Amino acid sequence: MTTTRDPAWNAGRLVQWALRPLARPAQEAEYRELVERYFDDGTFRTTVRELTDGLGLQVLDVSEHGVVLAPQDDSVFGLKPADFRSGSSKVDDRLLDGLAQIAIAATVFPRARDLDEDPDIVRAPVTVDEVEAQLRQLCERLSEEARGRDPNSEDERRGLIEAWRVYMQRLDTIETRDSRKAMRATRRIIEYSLDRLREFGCFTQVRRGAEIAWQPTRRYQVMVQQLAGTAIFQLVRETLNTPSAASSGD
Amino acid sequence: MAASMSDGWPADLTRRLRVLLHTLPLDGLRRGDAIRDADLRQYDSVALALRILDVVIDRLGLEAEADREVVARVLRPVLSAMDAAASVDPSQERHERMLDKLLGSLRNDGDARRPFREEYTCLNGEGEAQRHALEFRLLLDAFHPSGGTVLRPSAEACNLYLRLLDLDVEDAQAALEAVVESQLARGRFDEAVHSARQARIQSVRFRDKVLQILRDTRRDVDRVDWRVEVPRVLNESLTHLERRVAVERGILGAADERLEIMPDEDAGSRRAVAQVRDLTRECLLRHAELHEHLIGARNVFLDAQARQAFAPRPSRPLPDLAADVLEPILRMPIVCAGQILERGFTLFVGPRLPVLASLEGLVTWMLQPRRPQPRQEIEVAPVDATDLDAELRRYPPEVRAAATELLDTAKADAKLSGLLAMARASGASNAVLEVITLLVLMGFATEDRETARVAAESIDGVPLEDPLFYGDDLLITAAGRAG
Repeated sequence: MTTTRDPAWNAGRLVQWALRPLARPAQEAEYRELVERYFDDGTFRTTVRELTDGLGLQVLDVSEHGVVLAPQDDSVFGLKPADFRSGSSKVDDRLLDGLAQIAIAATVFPRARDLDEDPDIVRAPVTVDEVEAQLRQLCERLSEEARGRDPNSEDERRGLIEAWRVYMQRLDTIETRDSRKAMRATRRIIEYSLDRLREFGCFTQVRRGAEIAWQPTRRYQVMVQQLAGTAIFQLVRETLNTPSAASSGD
Repeated sequence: MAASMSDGWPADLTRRLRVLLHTLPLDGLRRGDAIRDADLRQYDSVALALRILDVVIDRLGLEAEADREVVARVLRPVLSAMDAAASVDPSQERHERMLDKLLGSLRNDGDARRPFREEYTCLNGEGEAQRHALEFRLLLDAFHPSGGTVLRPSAEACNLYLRLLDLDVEDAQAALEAVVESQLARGRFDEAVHSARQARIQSVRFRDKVLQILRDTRRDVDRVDWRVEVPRVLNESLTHLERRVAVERGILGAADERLEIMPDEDAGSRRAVAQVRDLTRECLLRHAELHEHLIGARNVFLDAQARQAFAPRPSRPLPDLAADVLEPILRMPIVCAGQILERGFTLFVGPRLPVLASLEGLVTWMLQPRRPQPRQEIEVAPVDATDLDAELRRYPPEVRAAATELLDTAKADAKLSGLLAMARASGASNAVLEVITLLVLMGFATEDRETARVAAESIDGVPLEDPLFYGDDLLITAAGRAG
């Protein structure tokens, strides 16, 4: 059936399959056929690339595991931090959700060269505690470094306080009531992020001994290794090279 | 000076040293035997680890690669045998625990599944000692296209297991097939089966090596050296294949010949030779398939080059996500951090589907019929609660008419007992009495008095005195009689 239709129609079908994170060529004959065609037919590949580009998507990987797509800047397919939670979220919440994403990726890929490994190799699952510890220890160190340099209210009003303070505040405000709850608040943010990533086909839940762990999927590994890791690094470098933003508020 | 240097540190010593280092994780396993939980000490972990490598290598390249379940199935009898030798009852829970420990050790779970890292010293050209590190994996979890994960041996593990660390796979296979031939000729059939199986493993390795080059090319043209290395490998592979196919045909012919002249009573040997023939045929088929791949290999490269001209490629150097990304963001003022995260966030979660409102879908959804009842439930005929006449229709019309007439003649505020006595006195049948009672009961405690012929109320605690009916006596009032 797929051969009788126009290549553009088939390219559209392939993109549809690619947008279903849980579909696999091994289980769907049409998907498999289209992936094979993508490999075999140069014209079809160009059509798929043009189509995805027009939609604001880029093809990160095509293999027998399926197609992995990533949204381009300002794509309708891009999920912004503001859309991450149902209902409205505050600026601080969005910042923390973003930090949680980076911390999760940094826990899955602890070393630079991990990003260069074969994405077919299953990386070790991570736990909420590991991600939380990663983020908290970094913030605690920065807090130690900044001792005695508290921002004034003007800085706060202009958004010049550092991002780590937001994380520590989230920890502090709740710590005044019950120190055990403090961990829970930041843990909840991370757990929510992992759970949402699961919905997007980026993680699965597994048991590791007595605790629950989160196993990155191949799709997630490809996304971070092929694009997200280096792209966010690029954004950080650009920002640091912009004179006005380089300082940390002092 | 140079001569003394080569005396002090022969060139291939380093290679041999590196070969030896690959066995150290297994050595670590063995030393762990003594300090493991008391109830696991009867297990020989190195033997078990080799059994694991054996099964994962044996399944490599086959449709159904080995996963944890397959390994567990293979290992269970071995573990039970070790239990029996130590006079311990086998326990599935303990077996699973041991398996997890073994897989964990072979995957290096203890170090977040990073490659094993062994340091060693060797002398350089100037005779100075230098420290080096060797990194390698033995067993790894790999994603399988069907969705699960499978256990795969690393190339090093295959070499280690096959005791061929220093040999080229091509040569090894030729050697093995020569061994098969000679064993067949000398009538050592069981050993020939074993060698044929080894040869098959080599053919799988060989095929994987070539396919890996083609796959790497599809993924990233820059990863493989297409100017010198790959054409050389491909040419050698073609020559190797042609030689192998000739040898395998020879073995097949020899095996068939053997089978023909072998007496039927010699069932064991016949089975062994047949097995050699099947294994060799499998190699032959695999090689024929590979031949096709090799012929098309050049096109794979050209296609891949065209395709990857558009492919995104990670810009080097690769960042350490914690130190180079997370920390700088945490140090930034929240305005800047927020801007970066706003743009970068979407890359970590992947595309989401924008939801489009569909009027057609909405209308269809609103008009859809109620979901049908599940079949298991027994269908209950609906009861029309307002159909007061349903029970009356059991009686013939003339009976109903007689009853209605008698009821109509009753005085207002008559008692049911009195009415029944009066009717019986006038010669009414039991059926007529039943209908009268029914009609009165319909008027009792009904919310809709209009539909009932009469209205009835109970008289506090006064029982009905009648030979046919029992219950409370009722007071019949005229209300509703108009209906």
